[in-house]
Amino acid sequence: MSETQEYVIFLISEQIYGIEILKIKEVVSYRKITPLPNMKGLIKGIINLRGIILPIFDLREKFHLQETPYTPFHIIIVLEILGRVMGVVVDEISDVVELFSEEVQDTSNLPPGIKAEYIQGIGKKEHELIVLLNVDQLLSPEELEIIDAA
Amino acid sequence: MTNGITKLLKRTGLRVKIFVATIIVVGVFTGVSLYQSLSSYTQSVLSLVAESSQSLLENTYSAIKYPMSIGDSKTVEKQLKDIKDHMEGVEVYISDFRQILHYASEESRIYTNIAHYLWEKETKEALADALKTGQPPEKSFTEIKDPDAFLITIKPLLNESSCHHCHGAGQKVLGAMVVKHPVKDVYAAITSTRNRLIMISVVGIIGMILVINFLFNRLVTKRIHWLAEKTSRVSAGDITVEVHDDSQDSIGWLTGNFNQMIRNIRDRMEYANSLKIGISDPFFMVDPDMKLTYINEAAAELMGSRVEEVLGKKTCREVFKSSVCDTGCPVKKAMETGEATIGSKVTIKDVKGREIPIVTSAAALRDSSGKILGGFEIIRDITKEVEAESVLRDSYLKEEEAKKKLQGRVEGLSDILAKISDGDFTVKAEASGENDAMDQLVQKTNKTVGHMEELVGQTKRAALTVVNGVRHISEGNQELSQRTQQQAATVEETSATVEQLVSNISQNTANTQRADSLSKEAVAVAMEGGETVEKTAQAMTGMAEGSRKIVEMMDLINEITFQTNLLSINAAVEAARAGEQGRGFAVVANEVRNLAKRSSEASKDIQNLVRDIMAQVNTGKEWVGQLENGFKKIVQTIKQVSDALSEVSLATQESSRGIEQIGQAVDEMGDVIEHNSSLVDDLAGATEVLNEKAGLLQVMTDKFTLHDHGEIEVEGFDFKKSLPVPKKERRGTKPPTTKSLREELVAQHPAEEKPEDLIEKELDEEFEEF
Repeated sequence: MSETQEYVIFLISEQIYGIEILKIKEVVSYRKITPLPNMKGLIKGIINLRGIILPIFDLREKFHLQETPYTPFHIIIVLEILGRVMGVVVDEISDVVELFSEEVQDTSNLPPGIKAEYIQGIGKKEHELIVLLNVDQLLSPEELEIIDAA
Repeated sequence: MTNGITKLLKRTGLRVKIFVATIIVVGVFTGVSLYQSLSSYTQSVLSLVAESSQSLLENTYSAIKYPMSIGDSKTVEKQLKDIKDHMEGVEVYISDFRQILHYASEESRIYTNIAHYLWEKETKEALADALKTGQPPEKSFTEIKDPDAFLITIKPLLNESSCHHCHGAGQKVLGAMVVKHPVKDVYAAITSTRNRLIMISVVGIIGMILVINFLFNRLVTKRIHWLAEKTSRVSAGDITVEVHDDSQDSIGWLTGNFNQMIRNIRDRMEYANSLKIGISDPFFMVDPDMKLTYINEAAAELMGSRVEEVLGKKTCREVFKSSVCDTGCPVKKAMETGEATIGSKVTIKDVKGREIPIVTSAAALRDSSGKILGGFEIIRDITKEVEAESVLRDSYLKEEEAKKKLQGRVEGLSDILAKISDGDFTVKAEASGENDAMDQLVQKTNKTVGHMEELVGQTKRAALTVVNGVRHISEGNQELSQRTQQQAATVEETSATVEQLVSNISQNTANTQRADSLSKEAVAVAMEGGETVEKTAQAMTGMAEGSRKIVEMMDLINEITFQTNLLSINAAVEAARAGEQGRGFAVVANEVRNLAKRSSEASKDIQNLVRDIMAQVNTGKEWVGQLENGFKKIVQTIKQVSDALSEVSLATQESSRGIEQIGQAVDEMGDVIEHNSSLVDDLAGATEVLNEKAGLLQVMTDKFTLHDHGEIEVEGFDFKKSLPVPKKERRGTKPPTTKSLREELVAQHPAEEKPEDLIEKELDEEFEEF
């Protein structure tokens, strides 16, 4: 019996990404993000989630993808990254899947040139490839500093 | 300790308990009474001995009192010796107040201290007390020194006057007399009596215990044991048990109550079974392993198998092969949650593999403590409902087809009306034979066209008749100019022609009026059609509005689905956090997520469907617009026909005027025969006008294409050519003069020489005759 791990999977620009379920605190629908002065790029601003102020960032900037306007059907995933609770905006949340360890290919087998430190592995499920993100590596120390400053 | 006893009591059987209790009660009771009787017996025996000892003491004292008072020691000693010889074991001692023996039944003990022969401290003290006070002790003393036992009686010897001569009066108490009475045999008797009593008691106790135990066993324990055995069978599930015990005691009542309870249970079970059997819908029950514990005939029949084939042998899954056996079995869900699931739609497969759509309701079965014993499910076969749904869909498609067909028919009718508007009356709209509103429209249109064709045909015929008349006039005119002598005949002919013309024209007028009323009728029919089309357009608008509302509601449903999916993912996250405890919750979250997905897909399908419907409605609206245009064209066409009829009417009026002029000409011809030439000219002019109008009429009516039977051909006649030629000939060859005509007439009547006015009068008369 091989090991399994549950992932919450979501879409950004039609591509499927996955995050380990235990890294996720909750998912909420998109609500208005209050922009902070002198903030640009990755950090979009902050939201008030039941009295807690959460910084919100958009992975499009990080993944070098075209920015799109937000709709009420966008999703904010509330994550814990190295002890910091913050929200990530994604296009659509699709499902919770269970991946067997043999369904996950680690990054060491990837062709050279496409390796990114925040990719934990590639999941294969029903002909779909799921980019599994390593939440703790998702933000560089510099980016974390910016968030801490915010 | 107490706990241990309690536990032991709980473990042991009723018989043992009663046995032990009987032993304890009988043993204690008998032991106490035995002890009582033994001690009273011993006391009575000992008091007898004490009395005898006392009497011996008193007797001995009486016997030795006198010898002692006279100082006869020998007699005293003899007395004591006798006692020793005759009463075996009895010892008599007489001591002075210093407890020194002076006389004793055992001579060897004289001048020894009496205390040596008393063993018990109590006895010694009693002796000392008696010596001191002179009062005898209140009781005797028992001294036991195995194997000997003695009863000791003490009597102090007081200083009486008879003693003063020896002892003086100084001493109050002179000494004491002590009798030791052996009671060894008494004790032995007591012991043997006690032993015998104990033995009898033990035997009695055992006997009593056995009798009590036997009676208890017979009257209580056995019956309770029997009842217990029956109740254990009941608790094992056998409810056919009946206990027979007609005793009127508590156990009898208990048995009666037990039987009543069993009957009640049987009644309840019968009631439950009746309920099960009374359910006419397919119905089955399963145990927690999903094995069928009950299935009714309806369910077995639905699945194509028999009750005895499946009951208790197969699981629910093997029999029903439901579409949700793995994903969300309603019974399993009901057993897990304890809540009933009602109205879920699933598909099952019977033994032949036929898929049956059903609506099912399930609930858990539990005992009084709430433990789940199994579940049951009621099934409703909705095959017919599903078929009805497909029939509804078919009818929708049919309606669409009918709409298309209607459009085709409207277009066909529109084409035909376009041809009619171009004047072609040979066309005819085809009825589909369905006798619907469209067919009625076609029929009425055909009828209108028929009437119009008839009208135009009549108009044409009238026009040709006019042309004919004109030819006749022309011919008459020719004849008039060529042969003035035949003028009378010609005038006669002309008059007849005019008469016919008048009648034709009046007929023409009537026909025109009829055509006018027909065109009004056609307008009314077309208006009616227009109203129907308007109502159709309203219905289409209503459909569009309904579709728009559906779209609004779909937005709401999408919102709810989106939120549900979010909730389900949050639930999955929480379940994952809860670890193994959250496993069940995770399954629920997964189910909710699947539901949300399915809702989302269904709402997408509905949106597509609504979009299609809206497109169809728009198309329908366009068609209705086209239909409205078609009706407008019909009204226009009818108006055109009406206008044409007005023109016909106008022409007829003009014809009428022309005829009047002809009449006048004919009158003038009769009146002023001498002005024949000018009359002919006038006549020619009038004929020319008539000719023009008739030509106009024919040109007008030629616009209409009619069926062959409606055509009237006048062969070889060209009114445009034929008319002016004879006129020229007439003018050129025979210039008509009033004089020549008159001369001719005069020549015909040469004998009658009448004045000119008379001749004129005759001419008038002739003309009137003509």
